Amino acid sequence: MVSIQEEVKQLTGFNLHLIPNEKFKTVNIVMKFKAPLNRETITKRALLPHVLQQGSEKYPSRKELQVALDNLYGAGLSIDGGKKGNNHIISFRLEVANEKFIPNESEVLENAIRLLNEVIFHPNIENDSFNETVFEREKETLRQKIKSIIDDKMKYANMRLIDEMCDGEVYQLHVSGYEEDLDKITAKDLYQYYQSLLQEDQVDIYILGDVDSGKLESIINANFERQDSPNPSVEIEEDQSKSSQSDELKEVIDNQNVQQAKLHIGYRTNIRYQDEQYPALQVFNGILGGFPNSKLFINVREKNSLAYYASSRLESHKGLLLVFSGIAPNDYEKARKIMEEQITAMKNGEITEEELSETKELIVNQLLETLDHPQGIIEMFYQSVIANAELSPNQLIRKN
Amino acid sequence: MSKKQYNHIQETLYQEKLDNGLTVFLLPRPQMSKTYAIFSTNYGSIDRTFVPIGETDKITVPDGIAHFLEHKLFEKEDRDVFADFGKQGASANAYTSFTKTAYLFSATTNIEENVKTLLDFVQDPYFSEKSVEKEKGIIGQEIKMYDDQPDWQSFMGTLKGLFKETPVNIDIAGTVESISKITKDDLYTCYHTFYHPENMVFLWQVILILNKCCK
Repeated sequence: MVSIQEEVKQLTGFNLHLIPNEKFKTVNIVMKFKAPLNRETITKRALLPHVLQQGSEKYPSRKELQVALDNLYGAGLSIDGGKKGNNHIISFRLEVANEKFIPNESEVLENAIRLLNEVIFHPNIENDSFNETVFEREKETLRQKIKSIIDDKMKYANMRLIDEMCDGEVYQLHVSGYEEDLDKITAKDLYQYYQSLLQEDQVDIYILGDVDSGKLESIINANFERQDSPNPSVEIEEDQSKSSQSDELKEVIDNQNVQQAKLHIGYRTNIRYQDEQYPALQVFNGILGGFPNSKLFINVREKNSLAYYASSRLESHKGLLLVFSGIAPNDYEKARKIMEEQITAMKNGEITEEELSETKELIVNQLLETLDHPQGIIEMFYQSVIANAELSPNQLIRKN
Repeated sequence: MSKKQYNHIQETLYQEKLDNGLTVFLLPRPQMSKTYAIFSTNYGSIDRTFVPIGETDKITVPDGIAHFLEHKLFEKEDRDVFADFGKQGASANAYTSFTKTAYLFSATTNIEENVKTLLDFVQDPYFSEKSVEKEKGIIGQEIKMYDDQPDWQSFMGTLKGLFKETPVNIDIAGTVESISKITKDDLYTCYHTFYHPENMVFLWQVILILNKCCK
């Protein structure tokens, strides 16, 4: 196994994570902005990636920005927002060809980093506000995105499950924001919020590829302007009294005119990524529903032909175990009973030696496969930042 | 074995046609942890009317049969091949398109065993009435899932509008009604007609040394 390590440097205003790696022919640069989840800011944070992706001061249109990327041998830029535990993270991702594969080129990486700096720190603004035309158009794009969640039944069922399960907790907040909040945001508000985000969010920069770390550090220092040291990251302590969390089972049935019913069940494990028992929980999830030889797949699908998919996954930073299946509406009682029986079997320790060892091997395989993807490696390392705990990919593999 | 060198990206692809007709591609990627292998046949959902091997007259089989066959190849008399791959730490999958059916796995350990499992299971069909009936419920739910997906419905709707005669206008999985007619004999007919090495390709992205894996 090729061992992958990161070198972390605390620079002014951000942490620089260097991950030397010879597997890939590209260099990946990811800049992450992290802030606590909050209803006041979530819609703005959902809108920002859309607006910023449309251009910058120097490249004020989508087309000009694309030409700049094309001039870097077809570099790829994407900006996205996501929820991890009680945090919201905006990621700027740039992937560019490693110049060592291009004859007579030595400035591709530096130009790529300059371009990323331009997109993040020099947006397309006028009179202390984002460009109105771009802003209005992107607002509509986000509105359509919010409205279309209900058309993706699996996604919609997941959202409804979290709505019910985490009522009153910040984790409930919708990652795409809220239509009623969107209406109130102006181009000026959004720009003002973006400026405070640039100042206050915790920033981590990841650079992965076969590049000289000394050269990189100097390029980064010369190009990223962030004077202020960010506030130390604040963990949100959940006010348990507001939460709807209880030991009682809550059944929610939403009626819609659909061909297939979605049966999604959520459980509180109270074990999170940083906890000692997390690797054990990972194996628990694997045996229950992580793979095609897991209990859910075998019993719901193979033995009873009730579903095409029946699986489970973890929300690692929130401590949730989520179980999913798509079934015929008439099979609800039967499918639910079989799904709950699998959980009972897990609780009673009805796990064979074979299931245990196979699942461990599959999880290790999954982790190693993740490490064959540049974005996978970066996300694995970033888990530790979110959890505020040291747990490298290699450690996670050993513990499984 | 022929060798194709891509100097600018420092990659080499090896190709060989075996005596039995199978085309094999090998792509060495020594830096990767993961090995990936795919075994595919030139047979998909549009191949619904054909002359079965060894016969003289054309037949038309129920829609969705190529995809149904893909599902059923994983099930053997005594076991499920998904479990075999699982035991060997591999993650397996398969897919059917309009013109191709492919079986694949990725793994980081037990590579040779997994390659053997892949090659063997695809070449060793076992279909029974009972297991064919059982699959109808599973694929029925797969079809219902797509019925609720606007993007897939728009895609198929476009194809239906564009193509009046070509069977590309039929959903790859067929319909709940068409798959209800599939029998184990239909599956064997399709299997023997389309799953012979001459009609198939095997590609292996190898991390091990070439002379060990291919003589």
